[in-house]
Amino acid sequence: MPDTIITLPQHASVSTMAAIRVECLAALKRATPGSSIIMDASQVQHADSSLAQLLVALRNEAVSRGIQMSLKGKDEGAFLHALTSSDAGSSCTVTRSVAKPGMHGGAA
Amino acid sequence: MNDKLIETFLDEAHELLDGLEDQLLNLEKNPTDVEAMNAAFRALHSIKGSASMFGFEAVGSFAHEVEAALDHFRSSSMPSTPELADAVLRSRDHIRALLDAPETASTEEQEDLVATLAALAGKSRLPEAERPIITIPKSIETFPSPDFRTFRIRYKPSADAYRRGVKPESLIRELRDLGEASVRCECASVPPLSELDPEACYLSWDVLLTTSMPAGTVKDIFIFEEGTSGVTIDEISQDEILEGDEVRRLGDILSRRQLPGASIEAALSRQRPIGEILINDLGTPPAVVEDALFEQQHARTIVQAAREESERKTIRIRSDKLDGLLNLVGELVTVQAQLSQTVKDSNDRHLHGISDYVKRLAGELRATSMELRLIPVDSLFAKFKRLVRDLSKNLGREMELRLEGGDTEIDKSVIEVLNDPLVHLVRNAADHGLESAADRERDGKPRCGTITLKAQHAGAFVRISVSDDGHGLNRDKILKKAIDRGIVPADSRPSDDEIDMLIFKPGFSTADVVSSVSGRGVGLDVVKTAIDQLGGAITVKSQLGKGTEFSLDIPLTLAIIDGFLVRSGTRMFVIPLSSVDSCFERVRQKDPERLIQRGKEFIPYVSSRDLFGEDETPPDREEVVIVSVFDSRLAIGFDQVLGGYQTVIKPIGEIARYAVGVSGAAVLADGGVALILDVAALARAYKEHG
Repeated sequence: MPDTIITLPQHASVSTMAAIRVECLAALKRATPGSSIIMDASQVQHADSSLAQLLVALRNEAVSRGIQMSLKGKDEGAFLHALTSSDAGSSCTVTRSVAKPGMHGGAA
Repeated sequence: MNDKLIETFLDEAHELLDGLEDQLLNLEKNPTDVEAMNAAFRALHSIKGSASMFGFEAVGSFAHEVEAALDHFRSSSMPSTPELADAVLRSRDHIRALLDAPETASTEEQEDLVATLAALAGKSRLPEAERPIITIPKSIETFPSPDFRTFRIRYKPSADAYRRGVKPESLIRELRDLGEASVRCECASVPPLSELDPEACYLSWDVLLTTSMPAGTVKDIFIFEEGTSGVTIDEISQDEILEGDEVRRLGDILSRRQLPGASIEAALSRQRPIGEILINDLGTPPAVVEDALFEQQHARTIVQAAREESERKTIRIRSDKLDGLLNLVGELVTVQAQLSQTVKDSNDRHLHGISDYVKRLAGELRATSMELRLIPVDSLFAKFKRLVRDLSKNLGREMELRLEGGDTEIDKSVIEVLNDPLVHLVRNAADHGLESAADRERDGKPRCGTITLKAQHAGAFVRISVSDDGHGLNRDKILKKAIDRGIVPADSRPSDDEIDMLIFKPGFSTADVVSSVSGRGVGLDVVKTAIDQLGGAITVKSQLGKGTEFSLDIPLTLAIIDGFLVRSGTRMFVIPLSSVDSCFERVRQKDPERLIQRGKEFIPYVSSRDLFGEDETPPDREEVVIVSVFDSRLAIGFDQVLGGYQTVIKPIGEIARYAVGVSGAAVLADGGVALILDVAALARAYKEHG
């Protein structure tokens, strides 16, 4: 099953988020359970928390459909922490929220 | 093994032992003090670990036995018992002996202690129902310091925040710049991608910030978010997350969240993480546990940051190196004075500039060197907790020690010399000052007597007082004893103050029974002599039935002083500047009065020529310096006042004991010598003999 690769732009902020969302929705539409969506963040030089919430939304939806999602070019956890200025070690170990390290409240 | 490493180990071990003693005394007073128990355990654990590493196997293995006994109580959450505290205190003394002079450490004592500790560890477990509940002490020290506060900031940007150009993560970064912050981003509100408005903000932030900044500064960061986004800033008590300088356990943090106590106890009794049990088994909302964990994590962060900061700021230096530094600074001060004197007659402005610069540098270097030697008097006072505790046991009297002004700093050389006089005074207070519990009760006093050690600054002096709330001095008894011993004539009628001062006469003691604690023929005259030699003064105030207070006024430093250089005939003297009130010039009186009037006050007058003798014909005019020490003022006439003079005090040893009014010597810029006047002694001598 072919993977879908979405290449994120150098500047991934609010102004570019609508376009990225459209690409992500298209990728989800094409993807089948067991396939992968790869977000290529290797070219990203500037991003903000709007990208973080989009990645969370994408991951939640992908997981619920049995689609794998991964981030290329960056460590996903560290990337999300950087985007939101949160702590790498701030995850609570006993809660049910297991979206990704440090991001709380996402669906399991 | 490197000798310096061993020396460092021994220094640290002694500090740990002092800390251990302090914690054990706290445990004796409050057996449920968890922090004291933990701190005592940590001290022992550190001693055990490093002793073995540095080849002190005997210390390591013995400390292990003590640690095991303490750990038994600690891990079982049992309060300390008098037997445990006593055994560990004795063990602490034994470890000290093993470190200092292993050959003299008693093997019988060690065997007895090992047996006692083993018994305590094995037999002291109480049935579950009988275990007292350990309560957390309320007076928990704030951390990292009272200047730091912790805020919990919850920030929920409005949905249109991005459209308004707000960068929430930038605001969070600004918060981080204010101090130590723990940040978590909540994304529970992020909808599925198909419903996500890419320009709407769904995130929120939860920040714990420990900062020295006021709440206003924190609030200012969100100034443009007011009224549009949700921002709450609450100050949280450090007590909620820290216990002293330790991070609270999750159970402690949760217990302050109005969770049912039964839930926490139930969770603690199961062998799984408490948070997991509370959420999965007991239905506690995850957010509550997450909040607590977040706070605990933040507490760890600030404790770690504070420790690292402390380690960066502190280095250990041998005290003899500090002494060496001060000696060199002393020489520099003398040479600088010579330089200033030499340059004075020169017209070379450049040379004057250099001389002034050297003078300023020498002054700053001197001040810094002096500061390095300042030690809080607490390090001296701390030892007395044990002394009073032991005295209480030996004498069978209830007594407690109160310490005040422990953060008052004094030169380390002064602290070293003060120990023995203070021990003497505290022993005296315990043995002669305080009454038995029954007597106190009869007189309407609390059964437990109080001895107070207090320190406070008073100009260039520090006043250390030892007081008790006992029966006070019995002046009739003192006077009778003094007359019996021929210290005062039988027909004399001394004032109350004069009678009080009789107790400082050599060999004077009113104790009817010579005890092992005091009254062994060594009287308060020894204390007075020691204080006199320090250039200080001792006084006593007493009220029958209320108690007695001894005040020791001690110079802050024994090394360098700012002085006032004066001349009397061919002799030069230095008066400590801190004692100089004022000076004025006048025509020398042929028949000088005993009192001079300054404003409305009459001040005793004495000529330096009468004090120290001088054959040379006096000049027509004299300069009168008015000196003041505590409650006494004295006017001394000199031939000439030469002005301010910074000088190093050179001891003159035994001679000083017989030269009233002289506390040391100083080398002058021209290589000559000036005597440093002990103004307090002069004032006293004048008061006593006129």
